[in-house]
Amino acid sequence: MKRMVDCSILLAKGKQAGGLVRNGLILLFVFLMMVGPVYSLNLTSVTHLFDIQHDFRQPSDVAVASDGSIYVVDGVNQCIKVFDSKGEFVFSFGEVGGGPGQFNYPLGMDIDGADRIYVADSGNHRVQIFSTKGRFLNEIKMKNKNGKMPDPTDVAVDSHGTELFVVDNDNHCIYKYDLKTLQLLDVIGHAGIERMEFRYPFLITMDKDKYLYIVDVINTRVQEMTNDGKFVQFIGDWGVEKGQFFRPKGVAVDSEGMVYVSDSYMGVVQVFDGGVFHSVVGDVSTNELWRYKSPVGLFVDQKDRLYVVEMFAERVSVFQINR
Amino acid sequence: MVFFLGEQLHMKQLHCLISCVFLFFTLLFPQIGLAEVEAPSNPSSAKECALCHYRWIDTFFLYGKGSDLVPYQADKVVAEAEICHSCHDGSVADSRARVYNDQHHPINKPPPAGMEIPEIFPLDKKGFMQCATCHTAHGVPSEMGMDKTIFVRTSNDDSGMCRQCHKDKDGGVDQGNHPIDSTKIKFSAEIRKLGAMEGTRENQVICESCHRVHGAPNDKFLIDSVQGGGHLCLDCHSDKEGLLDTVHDLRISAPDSTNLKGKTPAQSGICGVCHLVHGASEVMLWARKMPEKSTGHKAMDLCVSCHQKGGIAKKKILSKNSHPYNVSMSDKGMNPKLPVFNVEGRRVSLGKGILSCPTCHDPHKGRKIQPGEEIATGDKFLRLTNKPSPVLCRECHPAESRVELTDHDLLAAGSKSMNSQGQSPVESGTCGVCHLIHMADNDGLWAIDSKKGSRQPAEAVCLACHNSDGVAASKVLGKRSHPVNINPKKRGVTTTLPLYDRKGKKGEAGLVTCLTCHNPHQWDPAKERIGHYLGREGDGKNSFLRLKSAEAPTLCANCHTDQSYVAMTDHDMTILAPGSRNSLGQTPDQSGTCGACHLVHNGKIRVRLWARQLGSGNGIMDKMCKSCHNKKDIGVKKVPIVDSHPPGMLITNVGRNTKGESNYFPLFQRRTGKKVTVGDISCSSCHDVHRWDPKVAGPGTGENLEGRTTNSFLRMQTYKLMCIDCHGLDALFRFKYYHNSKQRGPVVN
Repeated sequence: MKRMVDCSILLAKGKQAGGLVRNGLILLFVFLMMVGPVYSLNLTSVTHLFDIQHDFRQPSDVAVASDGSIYVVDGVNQCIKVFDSKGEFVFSFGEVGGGPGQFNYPLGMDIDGADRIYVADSGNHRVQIFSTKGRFLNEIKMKNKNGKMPDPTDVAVDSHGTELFVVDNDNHCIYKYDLKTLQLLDVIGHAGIERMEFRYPFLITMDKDKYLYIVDVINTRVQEMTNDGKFVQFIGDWGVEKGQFFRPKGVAVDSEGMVYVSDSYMGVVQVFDGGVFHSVVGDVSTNELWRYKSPVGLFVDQKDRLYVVEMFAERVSVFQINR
Repeated sequence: MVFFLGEQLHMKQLHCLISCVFLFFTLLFPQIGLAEVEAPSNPSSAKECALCHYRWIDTFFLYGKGSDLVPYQADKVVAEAEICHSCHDGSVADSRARVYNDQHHPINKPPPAGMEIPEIFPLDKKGFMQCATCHTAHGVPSEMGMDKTIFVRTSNDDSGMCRQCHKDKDGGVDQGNHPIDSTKIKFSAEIRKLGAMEGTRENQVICESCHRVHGAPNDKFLIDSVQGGGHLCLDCHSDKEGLLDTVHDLRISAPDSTNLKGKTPAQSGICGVCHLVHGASEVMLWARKMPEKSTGHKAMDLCVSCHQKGGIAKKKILSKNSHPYNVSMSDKGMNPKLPVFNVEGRRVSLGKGILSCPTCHDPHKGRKIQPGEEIATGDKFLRLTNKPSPVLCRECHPAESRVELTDHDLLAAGSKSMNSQGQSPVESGTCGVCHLIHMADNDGLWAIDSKKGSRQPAEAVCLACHNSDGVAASKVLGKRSHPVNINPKKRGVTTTLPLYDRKGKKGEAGLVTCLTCHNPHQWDPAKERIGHYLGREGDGKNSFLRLKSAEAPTLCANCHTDQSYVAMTDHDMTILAPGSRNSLGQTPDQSGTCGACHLVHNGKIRVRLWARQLGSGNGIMDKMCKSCHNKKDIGVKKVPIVDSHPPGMLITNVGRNTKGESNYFPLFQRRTGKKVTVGDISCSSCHDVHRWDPKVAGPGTGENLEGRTTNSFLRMQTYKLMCIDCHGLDALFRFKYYHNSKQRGPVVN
């Protein structure tokens, strides 16, 4: 599971040896540094269960209901596609337009404990709420911020369906709504690079303790905050090393509180524990990390199955997280 | 890590280490050698730059290695699709539908052979086009504002960027391309909805009016399909929609035919069958092979390219006689709202163009073929309708179109007669009953037999209907009618009415025919507009006369000037006896001044076509006078007691028989009324019944005057010569002797 090279061991050995032996060891070290693939990182073991491919056109997000039904945002096709827990297509709903049940390039979604589906209908500047059968229930029309149209890219809802958080990508902030009244409660954050500042926040998730994780794309990090809008911590940083992001996109939290973050350009899903890099999703049988083609939306269901939406590959890959 | 190790070593060892590291580095990773890796022109590993310039990330660029997550990146990927998509996937901007699909400008391919790519559009090291060929994330200085910035390398206002590479698509019709920059046609709501872009000017056509480089769902990056029904073309050229499902829709009539690019109608679409948007002929963007032998007029050549022997429209070709073409309508004083073309086939203003096929025909407007209907070739594709109203013909022939809703409009009259091509009026239209536009077997383009009934075509065309078996059997000419086929010039008659030669051609010289007095296209000469005159019984004011013969005798006066002076005299029945009637039962108001005494058609009396009942008298001339001048008629107050000169006196008028001379003294043959030089004196020898005062060449005053010997309809010499000639100073006595028997006494010589 682990394949690490401990430099300190090499160094100790180098001190004890002399002359040619020492230089040889150093050269060996350099060689090992360059040759790879020698991973000095952990892999979070997953087992690939199945892929879902159903004429998707650049799907972006996924959510799973309590009965295991899988809801996929097929935004360029202007619809939500629904599959059973084995990945078999069941039905779809939505069409292009601005009316109830119609979409204009939706991007993100979430699902509450009552299996109500919340869809960020980006082009229509609203959030639509549906039943598990795809019946339109309600909508939240977002208002302009400082004269600029809102661009809702994702939503996060608590399990009780009382609080809804909506990411406004273009306005670099998070909206908090009361789902009972559909009233706006708070606007959290603004453009910037400091705490509770964002540059193109994209997808969001909420864990069971109501902590929110917001992927801050151009700031190349995930910001964790409370449901009151208080900053908790940054997760990840800029770069291509472990624990760093080039294009973070999706975020999900498993039953043990491990945070999964996809990077669409590097094509990996990294796992963080308490805000600290923990591992990369991989296959222990081959000792290789999983390479995805433009991974975007993530979801971890109650059975700790990891769903990865691969936008460029136009599929949803489903894995079982091994404990 | 490397530097940490270095601090633990002596300098010599360090040098050795560095050398070895460099050696290993070079041997093991030749892909990052200086010779292999293109050096960034302005490398910066600052995050803002490396966000796109992936290979500038410190791990790659400074340390020259990969990471646990990704391999080392040596090549430039900044402008590859994956990098662009990593932001344009909705996480920063959502270009998924517009850019990232199968319908976009080619990338990962070289430009077409022969295309010159300006230096500002860089190709990759293989010479292939990439996103970065057109785009740069650094923006365009010339276009400020996020609303316009699409990160292209130069301004694309008015498709300026497209034109720099696609030069062969520019230049408009002169270069065989669809016009660019034209603002003639308003962008329709439909095409705007499809995403058509206009240039900097309103309705300015640019490349992106039809093409969309990213996300267009159709071939050639078109925003709408051109195949099948040609939707894209029709989005703007909606006036051409009439082509659909007609015989000119070659999907139906010639599905196997091909255009210049070898495409069938199904492949090219209904518009592409005849027009190519790019790479076409410079005339109308024509897409078909032009005829080998030009007509000399390119607009016509387009039609002939199909309508010729061996062509796909070989059943409809020009043959025999046709309506004139290649003529200037402007020169003929016509002002139609129809298109005219120059010899190059370009539509031009009326004064600069000539009539061609598309002047009358609109190939885009025909009758739709119904499902299951057999394809017929009878559709004329007329630009304007000719049924039931002759709208098209009226454009050039407005005067002739006044035939509509008259008895000469056999379509309106419901006639079922057939023209020479076997067409009923319903099929031929009003004008087509008498005139053919194409396929006429005579150069007069008559649709009726112009040789039957008369040797004169201009008369025969009338008699074709106006005969006992014809459509106008109720209006047949009787034997006693005004003479026709006579040359007025030979009779000393001048006229402004049209005369006709023996081929039926109208002119200033020629013969008098029906058409000299009648205009078959206009019922009432005074009403230059269309009215409803069907089934009317005519009179001297209408009846298709060129000029009115009632109330004033304008028509008759055009030839019979001297006789027209009867108007407004006591011989003008319209004044003297408006309640009287001629032998046809017409009042003077109906018949006109002349018609009160003369019948042009269907008279009962041959002499002078007399229209009244003859009175008593020695000769026909006196009988005509006594039609009125008798004790029972309207001239009762002017009945001479003695009204005759002794007959049989063998009076000769030689030397005095020239009409117009002051000593004119005509003698008339008793029975026929013809002028003779030896005969009896009749009323008309002394009287000119058409002229009150011989000294006044004009109509009367309309007043009822008591005459004197100097007027009273007497001829000029009545006082000066005639009586004196025979009777000298006793003329008065002789006059009284002849006119009052009570004063007659023995004649003393």
